[in-house]
Amino acid sequence: MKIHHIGYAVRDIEKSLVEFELIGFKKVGELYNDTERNVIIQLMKNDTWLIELVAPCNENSPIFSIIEKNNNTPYHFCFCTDSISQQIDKLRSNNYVIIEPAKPAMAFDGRLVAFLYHKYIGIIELLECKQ
Amino acid sequence: MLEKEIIDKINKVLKSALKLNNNTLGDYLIKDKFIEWDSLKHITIIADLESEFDVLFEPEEIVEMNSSEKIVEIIRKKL
Repeated sequence: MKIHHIGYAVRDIEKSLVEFELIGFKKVGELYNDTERNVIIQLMKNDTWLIELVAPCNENSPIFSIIEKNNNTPYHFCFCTDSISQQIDKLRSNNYVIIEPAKPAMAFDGRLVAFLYHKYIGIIELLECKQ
Repeated sequence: MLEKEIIDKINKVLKSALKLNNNTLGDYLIKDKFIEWDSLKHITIIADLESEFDVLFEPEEIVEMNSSEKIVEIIRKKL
């Protein structure tokens, strides 16, 4: 699968995006407050590298514990897939656990995203990128 | 598989994930009583249990598996 972006957990998204701008990243699109997922998202790009800054809205946010343990850190790769349901089925049969089933994501024009975990890889995100 | 074997395997996974020793393991472990057993650790425990028992859990089951008692109940149904 082709890599779409790297997810970067940050505690304070406003402060982090200023620092990413200083090292060559530019904002892509607007800041999204994804209340469905309890996260705030800002996409940024440097050349061909796309990153997704993800900050928790509150302590119930799925990335709150990641930040508490590791502070600001890259924490997932997101991969494009033509069919998210087929790819999930394939990964499930290869010992991936579904963290978050497929649902539309505000930051990606409502396209379906899902999160999975593998004990020897960690967290990955799938994004349905139909041609 | 015998009930005791199921419980022993589950306890082995939980003890390893939560870094417990035999002395700290009671009859049943409850997620809310362990600060280490957060949402991220929960996913790693689920992955280890799937591997240990060669089963797959549904998302609804993963949410319900918040104590060793509930884990035993769900796994027993799958074996």
